[in-house]
Amino acid sequence: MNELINLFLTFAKLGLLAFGGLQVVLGEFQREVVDVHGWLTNSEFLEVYALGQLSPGPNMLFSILIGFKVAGLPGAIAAGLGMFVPTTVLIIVAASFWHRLSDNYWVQAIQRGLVPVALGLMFAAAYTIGRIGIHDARGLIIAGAGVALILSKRVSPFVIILLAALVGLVLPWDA
Amino acid sequence: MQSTEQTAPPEAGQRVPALQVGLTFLKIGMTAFGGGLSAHFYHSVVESKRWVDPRTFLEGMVLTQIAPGSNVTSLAAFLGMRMSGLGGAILAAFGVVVPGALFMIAISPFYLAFQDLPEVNRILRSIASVAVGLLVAIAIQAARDGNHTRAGWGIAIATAIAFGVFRLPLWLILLTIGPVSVWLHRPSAIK
Repeated sequence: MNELINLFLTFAKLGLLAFGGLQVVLGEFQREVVDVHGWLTNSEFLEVYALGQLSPGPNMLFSILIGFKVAGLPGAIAAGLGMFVPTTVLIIVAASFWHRLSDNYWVQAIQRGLVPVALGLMFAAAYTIGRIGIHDARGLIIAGAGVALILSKRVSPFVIILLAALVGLVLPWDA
Repeated sequence: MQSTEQTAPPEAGQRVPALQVGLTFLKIGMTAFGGGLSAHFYHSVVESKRWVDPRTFLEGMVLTQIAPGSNVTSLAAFLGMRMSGLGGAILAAFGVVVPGALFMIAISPFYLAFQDLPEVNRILRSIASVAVGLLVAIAIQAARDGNHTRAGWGIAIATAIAFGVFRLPLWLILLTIGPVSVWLHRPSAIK
């Protein structure tokens, strides 16, 4: 029971800190899930993140897989509720008084001010996750191919992950 | 209630039955693989069904970018709220989250049972590597497309070092660097 409350609170906290999308807060996810709680190893964290990108719907759904690993189905539910319920309640409350506020001076300041912070966090996430996710030349090549394919804007992330899965299966990992 | 008839799409701003809102978002939640959900929302509720006017949609985008949480879930809840009040908001958020949540729950036992199998392990290591590539690519795109000021770059670098190197918790960064950045980016400071 303690573990369930722990999962709920951790993911509620991550949800409430998550502005600007998953990529911005992925480093904080890794810090909490791997470094603070030790629920997953670094490579498991990356695997679960990548699997989450194959799911339909919000990309933060991989929280559910983490919860499942920690405490089975109840854990999955606790993590999912923590991830989505508090922030949805918050937005419903905010939507009730949010009328034409986007012209507001400070709303514009916050909107613009958060952009560089988000950018810095994305760099930090790429750096942290890169250090734990790339072990050898093959990993580097696959990651590089992923960067090139995304920047070409011709292939969706979903297809790229499926391609990577195929490459992993077909080519022997350890040369 | 002729507003619900197919032949006469309701004008933007009119109230839509919550159940209809929920089903619309459920359909998107089931079929939208690989992100980009907000584009699907726009196409469905603004362009095709015309339940929401573009201006309201934009307001929702602004709010949900500032507000914490899964952006697409929040946007669904915001649009649901505008279209049919609390019931619509709850059903819209549910519709977006539940299909994927069931998918994740369904694959979880398989992941745990087979993650150490050599073939599965090879696949997982490969998709973990490509996931790193996706993160790098997103960071590059954000750096290129953002039209950042010199102050913005300073903030971005400070944030990257504080979080990536010193591993300070995110809440601390948001409470320290955040306000500085907001001050530097206030409209009168930029124009």
